[in-house]
Amino acid sequence: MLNLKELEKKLDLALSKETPHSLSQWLINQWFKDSFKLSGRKVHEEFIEVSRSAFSKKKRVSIEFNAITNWMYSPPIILKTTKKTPNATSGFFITFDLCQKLKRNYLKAKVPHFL
Amino acid sequence: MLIRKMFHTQEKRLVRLLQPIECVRDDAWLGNGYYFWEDIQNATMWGNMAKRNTGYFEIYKALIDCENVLDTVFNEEHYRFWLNQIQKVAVEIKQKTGLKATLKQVNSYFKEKGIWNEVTGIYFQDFSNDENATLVYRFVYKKRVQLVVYDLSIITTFGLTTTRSVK
Repeated sequence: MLNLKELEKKLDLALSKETPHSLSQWLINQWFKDSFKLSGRKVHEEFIEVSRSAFSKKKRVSIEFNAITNWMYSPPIILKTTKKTPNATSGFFITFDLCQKLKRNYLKAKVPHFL
Repeated sequence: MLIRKMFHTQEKRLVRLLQPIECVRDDAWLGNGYYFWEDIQNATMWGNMAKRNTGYFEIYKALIDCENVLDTVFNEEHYRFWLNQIQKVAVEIKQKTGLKATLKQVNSYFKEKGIWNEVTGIYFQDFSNDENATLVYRFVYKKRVQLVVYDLSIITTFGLTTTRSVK
């Protein structure tokens, strides 16, 4: 049986530790995950996989990448292709550096007042 | 032990499911989890609406131990607790960041911070806007009840109950 009082205490404790900065960082991470669906799975020393579902929306994702970074072309590095559909991949990959840069630029675009 | 009979809808595939499929949709109200309908009619509605790709959908019946499920539909204490907790998080986010949180973010907060580790699922409801869902004209008296399960171990049995063609 759930102990609601204990659950409430846990929430109150967690919230009491939050600062505007910590909450903002947490929200930013949520937006970032939602927007780019980064699986965070470390598939290679230097790469993070962007999930297949993000790839299926590649056009949108690329546009967002470009809008944020002002790059002239889509920056994701495509490492895999399937035989069935040569143009499709099982996901694409970005470097951790790129991920961090993207994050910073994303924040600038989305929530400049937090930086 | 409180056991509920619930229904899980999926597209018909070559292989029958041995367990439900986790919903990871962006618009999943209560975050990633295994979603069930209380009513087979709503499970059928969902199949016709969202599980159309293969032309057929399957409805699986499950028995679920709801002992540690937050029941926001029929348990007033749970409902008021849930409402209060959501509002606390929402107010905190609003006050400290100036932003309005989404329901998904609020639920992620509970899950990621480990606050609701003991909560194995949430029983929740909305109302159908389908006029055929009720027998009284323009009176939406029937709750559309769902359960999101976060912990697979509370599903005691799971099996196919019917296969239907998409309408």
